[in-house]
Amino acid sequence: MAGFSAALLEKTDDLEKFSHNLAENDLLAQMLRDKEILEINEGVNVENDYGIKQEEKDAEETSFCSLQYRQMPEEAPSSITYEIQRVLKLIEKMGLKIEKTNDVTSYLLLFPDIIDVLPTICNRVVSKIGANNRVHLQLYNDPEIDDKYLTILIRTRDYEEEFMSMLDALSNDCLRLIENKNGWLVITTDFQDME
Amino acid sequence: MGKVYIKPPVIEAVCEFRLTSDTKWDLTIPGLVYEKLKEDFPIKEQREIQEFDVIQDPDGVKQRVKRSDRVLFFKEDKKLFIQVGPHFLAINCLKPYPKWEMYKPNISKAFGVLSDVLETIKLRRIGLQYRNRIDIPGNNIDLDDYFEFGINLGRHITQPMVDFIAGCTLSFSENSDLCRIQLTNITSDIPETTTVLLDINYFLVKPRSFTKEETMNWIEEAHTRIEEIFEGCLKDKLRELFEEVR
Repeated sequence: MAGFSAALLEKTDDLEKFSHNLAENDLLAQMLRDKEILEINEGVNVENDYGIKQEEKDAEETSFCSLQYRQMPEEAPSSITYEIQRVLKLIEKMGLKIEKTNDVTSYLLLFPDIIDVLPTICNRVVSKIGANNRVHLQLYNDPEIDDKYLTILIRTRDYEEEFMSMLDALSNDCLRLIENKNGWLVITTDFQDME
Repeated sequence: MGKVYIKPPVIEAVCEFRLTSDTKWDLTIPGLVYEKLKEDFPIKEQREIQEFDVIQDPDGVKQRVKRSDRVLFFKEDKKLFIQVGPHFLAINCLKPYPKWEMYKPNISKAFGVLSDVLETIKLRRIGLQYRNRIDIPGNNIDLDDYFEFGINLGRHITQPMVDFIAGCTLSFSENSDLCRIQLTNITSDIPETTTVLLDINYFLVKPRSFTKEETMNWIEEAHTRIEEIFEGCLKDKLRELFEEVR
């Protein structure tokens, strides 16, 4: 669990492993403050809010761990645009393609209460559907009723029944996370070719 | 007063107040603040915030995630909002940035309300931050054409720069205030465009007690310095993109 920084993640090419392990408890989202890392030393343990210590496991990666930030790392930022930028970067690192970043950003500025759960949802999607499918995050604009919401669009090779069942289950699971939020998100497919 | 632009690049201005931990705080505070602000900021939302604790103990350095709630009070158009959390207040202003004379009264009002609710406030940090998103036509621009502030690669490095970050921290008022400047490229949706983020963050370093008037004076001074730094970062070619009002 060495790669706390996006820079490191890029170098290790082991992004999926890190994000799957960590983003579920939002730890990675908090840690991935791109371009804010001054030094990387050795030997840090990470404890989540349930008091569970996540030991550094991989020996070759452990040497990277422990970070010093240019900015005090313990305080959540006040800037909402900074937070959105950070979250979208994290989501891209998970392997999602963000369509029209400006539109997605504008939606999150209108409904900031879903910023925090977005990495968790994206991580669940990526973990569940695997690397052989394409996942896009975009803003859907329904012109008939002038309604806008975020969409996680999954494209696969074969749209078989099993895939559709998995999509339903995934959707139900993730939507529980936003049921009391003002922002809205749909997990769906457009049955298009992956390419 | 600084220069006025038809197309100012500000995507967000934020003024934050972080109180010392010995300032009295309880769960009723956000509700009391909302009661006094709801006419101007009627829409409210709640966010769960995660913060880090870095703890040094005999076993080494540990990092722990803390969760807390922040309540957001929005104006009708959601372009201006107030965040209230434990020992924390921020006033955010999104694009289109109105102008300082319109933003500042909202800071004053929100801080005034919190001061009234809490009676005594000790500030650990005040910060005023301006985030500017600048879209410059062209893919391979020379930063030096647009910015006084930037990166000097010297005479021997000639490769094109595909990614960059330049930053520094300046000291003011005998190190009682600092200003962090950061210039970095960000991904852009706009074709044939280089998008740059210029982030100027002026903040109080040494905790101290302020009266409300002193606080607002500090903020006014911070704004003046940010304006000077902003202008100091730009070259005329960039000012032309913002279209100065003369």
